[in-house]
Amino acid sequence: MKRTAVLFILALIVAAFPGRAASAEGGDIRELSPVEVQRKMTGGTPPVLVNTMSLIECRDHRIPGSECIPVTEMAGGWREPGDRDREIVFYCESPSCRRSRLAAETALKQGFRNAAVLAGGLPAWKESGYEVLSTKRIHRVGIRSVKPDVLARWISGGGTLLLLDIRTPDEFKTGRIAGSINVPFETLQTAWRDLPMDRSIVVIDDRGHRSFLAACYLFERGLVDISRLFGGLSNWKIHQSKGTEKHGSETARQ
Amino acid sequence: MAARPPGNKLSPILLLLLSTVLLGGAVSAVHGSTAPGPAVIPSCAVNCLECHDQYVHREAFPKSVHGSLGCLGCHGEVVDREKHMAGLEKPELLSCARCHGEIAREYVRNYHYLYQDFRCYDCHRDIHALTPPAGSLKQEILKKCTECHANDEYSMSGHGLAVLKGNEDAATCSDCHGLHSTRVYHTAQDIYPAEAREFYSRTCIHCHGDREMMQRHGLSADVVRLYEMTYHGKVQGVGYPSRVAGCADCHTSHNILPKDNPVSTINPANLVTNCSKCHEGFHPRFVEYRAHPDFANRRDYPSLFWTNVLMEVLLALTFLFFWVHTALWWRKTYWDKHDLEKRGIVPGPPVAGSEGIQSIQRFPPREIFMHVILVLSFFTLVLTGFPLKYHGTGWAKFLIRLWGGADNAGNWHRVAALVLIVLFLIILFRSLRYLFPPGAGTRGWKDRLFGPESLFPNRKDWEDLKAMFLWFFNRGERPRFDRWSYWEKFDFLAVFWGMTIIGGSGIFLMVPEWTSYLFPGWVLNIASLLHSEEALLAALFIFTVHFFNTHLIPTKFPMDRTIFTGRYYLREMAEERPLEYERMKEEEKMASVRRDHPSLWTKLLAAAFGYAGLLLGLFLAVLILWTILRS
Repeated sequence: MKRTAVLFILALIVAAFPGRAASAEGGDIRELSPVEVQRKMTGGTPPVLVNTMSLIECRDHRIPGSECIPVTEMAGGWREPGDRDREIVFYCESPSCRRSRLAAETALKQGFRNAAVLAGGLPAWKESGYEVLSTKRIHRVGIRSVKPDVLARWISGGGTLLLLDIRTPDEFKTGRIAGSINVPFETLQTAWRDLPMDRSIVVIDDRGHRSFLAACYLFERGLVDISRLFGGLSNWKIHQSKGTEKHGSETARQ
Repeated sequence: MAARPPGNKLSPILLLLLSTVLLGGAVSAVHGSTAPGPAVIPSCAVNCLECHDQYVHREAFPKSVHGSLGCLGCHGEVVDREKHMAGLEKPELLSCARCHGEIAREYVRNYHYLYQDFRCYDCHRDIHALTPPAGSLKQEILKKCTECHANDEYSMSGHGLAVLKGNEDAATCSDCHGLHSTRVYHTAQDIYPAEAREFYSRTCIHCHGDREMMQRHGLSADVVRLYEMTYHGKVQGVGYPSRVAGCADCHTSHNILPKDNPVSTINPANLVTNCSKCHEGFHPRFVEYRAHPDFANRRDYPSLFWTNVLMEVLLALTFLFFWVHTALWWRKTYWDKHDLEKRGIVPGPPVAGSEGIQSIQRFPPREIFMHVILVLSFFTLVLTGFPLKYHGTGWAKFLIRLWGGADNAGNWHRVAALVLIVLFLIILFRSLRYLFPPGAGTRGWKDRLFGPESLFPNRKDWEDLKAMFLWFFNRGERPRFDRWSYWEKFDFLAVFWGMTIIGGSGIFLMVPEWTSYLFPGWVLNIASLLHSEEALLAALFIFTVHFFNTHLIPTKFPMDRTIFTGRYYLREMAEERPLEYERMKEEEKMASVRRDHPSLWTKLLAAAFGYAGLLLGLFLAVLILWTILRS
């Protein structure tokens, strides 16, 4: 009797503290290290490996064997594997990138039971010494990176400046530099044709990791008067909050 | 096409071009080209230059740093020319890491590789015409980095200008950020982790701690050493740079200008703004604090110089006197004990005296409790404070990690300090109440102050001291003490001196911004020095002199539990404090201090606490002395 009571109490305690796997459906996405992903990729049943960045970025460099499925396209129906138990591993361009996690959550909602993310993203993969693949590499050129105070001076000077915000429309809605236009990176491969050739373009992203490649892409297409915001909008906001700028520009909210 | 960093694989078109060109270069040499061509590559089955005959391949490559490698130095062999020309056979691009292994190992953690997928040829774009820089390598690096990072601040700074003027000691981009090892620190977003702060401060120290280099440019070679003696430098040195000012916090990272430049962050006109980045709510004279003052410089820092001299003299004289006193005392008791043992005279067991009393009370429970609190707070202060004082040592870093970081250690230090201050105030109150008891007013205060129950020194103490030295040299009898010996009085009064100096300076340092409303900032430099040196005096005194006088003297060795049990034998009183014994007998007070023998648990607890403190203190004393002797 005593033994049963003890076991019952222990069972209650265990039930009160579910493990990570048990709570996965509650938003706790399983993470796999680069070593685990590499091992699975070379094993008998490799997972579906998904690069969640834009097509431009994915074609520029990705983990061999992975598919290019921008997270923005997942909700609209992607070429998903039929087997709902098939393991899918999502990754993106930085350790703090939200896209892979968002993609995994979307996959779980769509009924996939075995979704995970690559811990640390592509940088962790590279740092572990594993290969990446280029199918349509963008030629890197010297793109001037502009610090927020310099950009603020440019903005206050007027002229032909075009602030090109390549974040998603949702991110753009949460805050932007006044006067900027939104052309998400995921649409840049077609939308670049609508960009004016006679203006100085400053590419703005979230944290400064993506604007360089976007700028190089535009440069390849002949938009040569191009710069990027160092540190992205996050850096701009920090600069604004420090109150060190005395210019007229501001971060607008919708 | 898969790639492994940094010896990546180029696009197929580029590959085709490169392989053919390089092989062609080799063949051109075989055919007697006027250029100093690459080595002949017998296995090369294809004449690359037949197709890839541009100037850069035919003329520039043989003269480049890789010219001697030939085509196959970097490219795989083309086996079937027809297939190759049809685009069906693509020679493999060999990894640059085959030769540049060390760079490859560094580059795998490089920001540009990890986040922008930069490959070797993205910076070394002219790889086929690559030649050693004709001029300054530092300038070449500066030019390369500023293709993207057009940092105007740096270019106008002292370092940038010096590099452009050809100064080969001045820091170019790679000197601080690394060339192939540029780390990922996300400084752009103010995500400025401790690792980054430590990295960049170490980078500054690398050059500014180089005496020869600094002297070459007329700069002070001591700024680093002096910075490391300040609170900022000590916390940084012990491994927690995120909470204190590192080099770049005051001097900025790129806009580093001399003090006399009006836009320099360390120009006196800009100091309030500069210090406000971390401190708030201070009086403008707060900025008179010196970030790396030289205690030895009497001309520029006279108050610090003389404070330092005062403390050095105080420490030297105190330890000279008491260590000599201790050594002589130990010799005398050890020799005497040996003499007794040699003659077969062994002290008998403690027995009840003629009064029928065995144990008597020396310390009431309240004083025991206060001493325990004193011990705990003192050890906490030493264990949290000394790691900062000797921040460069391994034991200091270990201790700070045990506390859970410099922040936690600092908080414990302040808590223990406040406990000690409260204890000190209680003692002060009780001392005044002893002198001026309720109802008595000031009547008889002098008698009480110099009386036998008082801890204040009197003429007899001076006589006892002289007699003690005579006794050390077998020139006289051991002085007859009353309730308090002269060294016990010194221990007690030293607390008053120590608390005034350490406590006062500690409060200033605890709230430096508030202190600036009373004193200029340079007073904090003096407070810091006093706090540190007085702490050394207190800790070493307690762990050596006090421990010896109380516990380690051969007649008490290994420990005297009296302060923890509150009781000792009547015989001990009669032998060690004969005047008190006689006085108590005469005043018929002996019965009032009679106590039972301490219980077993009291003794065990006292022993555990006492031995723990004793061993820890001795261990710390060894660490401190060892560190001082090594420095």
